[in-house]
Amino acid sequence: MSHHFDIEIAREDPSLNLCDFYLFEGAPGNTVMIMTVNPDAGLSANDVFHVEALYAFRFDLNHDAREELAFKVRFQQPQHKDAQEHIHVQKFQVRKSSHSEALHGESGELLIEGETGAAHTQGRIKVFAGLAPDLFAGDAFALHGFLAAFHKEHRYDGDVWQHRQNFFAGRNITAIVLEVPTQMIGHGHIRAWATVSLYGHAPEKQVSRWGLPLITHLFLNDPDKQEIKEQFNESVPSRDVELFSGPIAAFAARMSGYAGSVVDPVEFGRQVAQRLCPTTLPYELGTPAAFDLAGFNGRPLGDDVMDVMLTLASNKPLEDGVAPDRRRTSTDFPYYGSPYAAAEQTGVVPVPHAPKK
Amino acid sequence: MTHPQKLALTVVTRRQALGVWSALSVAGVVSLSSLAGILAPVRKREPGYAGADKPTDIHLYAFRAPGTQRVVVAVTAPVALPGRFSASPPVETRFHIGAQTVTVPTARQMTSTEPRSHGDPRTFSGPIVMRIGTAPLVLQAAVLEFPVDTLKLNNIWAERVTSAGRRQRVASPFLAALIAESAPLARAYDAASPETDLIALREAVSSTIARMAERWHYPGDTLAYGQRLAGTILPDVLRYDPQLPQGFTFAARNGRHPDDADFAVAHSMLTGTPVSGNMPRQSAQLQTCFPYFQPASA
Repeated sequence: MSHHFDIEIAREDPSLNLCDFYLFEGAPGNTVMIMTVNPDAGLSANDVFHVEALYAFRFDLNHDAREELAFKVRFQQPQHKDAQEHIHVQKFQVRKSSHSEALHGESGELLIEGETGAAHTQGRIKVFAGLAPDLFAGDAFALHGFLAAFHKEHRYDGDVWQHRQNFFAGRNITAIVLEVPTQMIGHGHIRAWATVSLYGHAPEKQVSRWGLPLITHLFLNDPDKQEIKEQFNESVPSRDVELFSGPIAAFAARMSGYAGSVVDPVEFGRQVAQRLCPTTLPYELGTPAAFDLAGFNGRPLGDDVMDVMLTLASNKPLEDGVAPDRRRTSTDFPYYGSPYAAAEQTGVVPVPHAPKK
Repeated sequence: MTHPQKLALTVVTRRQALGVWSALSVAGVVSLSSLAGILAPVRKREPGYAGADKPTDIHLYAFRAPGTQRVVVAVTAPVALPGRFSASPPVETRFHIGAQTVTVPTARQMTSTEPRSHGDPRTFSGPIVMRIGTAPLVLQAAVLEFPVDTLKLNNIWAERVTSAGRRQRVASPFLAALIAESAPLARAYDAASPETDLIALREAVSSTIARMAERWHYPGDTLAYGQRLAGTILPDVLRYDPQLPQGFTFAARNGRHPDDADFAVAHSMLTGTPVSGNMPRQSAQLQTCFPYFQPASA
């Protein structure tokens, strides 16, 4: 639910649903970037990447909310592995593009290529794309109740978080994991985000974006203004202050006002908007990543970002009572443990998807 | 996050409250009837928590006076500080606001001064009343008021100095909470200044945060967490830019209003865990004119 199922196209085609983005230090001198798509892969979603999509990690190196560097991944048509009908394999390529090349298109220096389901190495560059356990954790039903109380009843309801049900427990996702020498990115403080764009026969069109957790589900989820979520996913960080700081500030002001947790809700709303816009993930390259109450510095696998964002939105300490399954992380590339096997998914109900229009 | 030991625990502050009340009743500042009010709030805390008790510690505030173009910088403190300055009470409060230092003598009764020129502060010293929940509590205060256009982004800290020359520092709620955890850290803190904090305090602050985080079952590396957070809260100053949105909140720390929920913010960040602490809300019930805090005689 970080950004799972947040827009119509994502619900219709999960391979375009950019759910999460992680950024942290890998092997010494290396930086790891991960994006996830296909929520509930293997149950209600396929485990294949879109062949007409451009999956991109984008880096703002000079604090202008525009990317000067991007790593872009494209996948080929899926093939059945060893003639097994239910196991797909896709070839893919990773390219590095800089400056104006980073902004659009797929051109750039070919860094590494490979096949889904296996880790590949080229010098100090490593890549993996394939099925992985979903390490986002959150009580989706409680969030629904929390927002219903907020939008419909105009009140803060902190009691909804008592059930402690991780909606994502036992579910898989597909991940693109890329590890590169940190010097290939740069040094010092950078800001990063990830995007998925349709790219192929038609002109390039960005359909999904992730810069910080829960932006669409929490801050931009007014039932009467759902179009703003599509707008956010199609937009770029350099327009975030202009387009989204107002709605984000208004949400935080109302939430903290209902919670009675601040002296001046309007001032607090402005603080939250300044913290979250542009909506990109800050990181000091080469340092231990952490996304917690003490600050945002990249995001490692396993940090409980939902508690952080709930607390930030309301200025009230909030816990949803669930945490990522850290047993499913690894200290070695690709940093994920094994995906949940069918036997571990007993009782996990497939997520119903909206029918295609 | 999940916390298997989240049980409410009572931390008695009545002895300290009684000490304050006794001193004030002798001085005729509070009435006998207010004793019940002072005794009323029995404050709940989480297990293992021994953080700062807001009304019985020293606090620094910086905020825009409501509805004005004025900035208030204030220190509040218990009338008596058990165990710290019982023998030699502070005689003055020194405010350090950027490069400027303003000294306000401690006064048993309300005392105020007017500014001599634009940019000079108006000052107040004397006992004031705050409320913790519904209970009144009398505190000693030193208050400065500046025109907002005379203050830019500032690092603010203060110290209370006794007649014997001992000093007691105050700046952010982070260090106020941490020194309540560790007497050696409190002594080192009082002996240091912001310019020496990183050298003098970093290790002790890191390890104290790590211990707090461990008690609260922080899921990651508590030592790394302590080191990272120490690097962001030291040197210990209260940062305030009147041009930016104000408040000591989870979103930003810009100044500090007496009614801010800073206890929850500081303790959640120090433990790495959302901590409400079940603390009754503090309210200064600010007035619309200087000194903004309610003088105790009112």
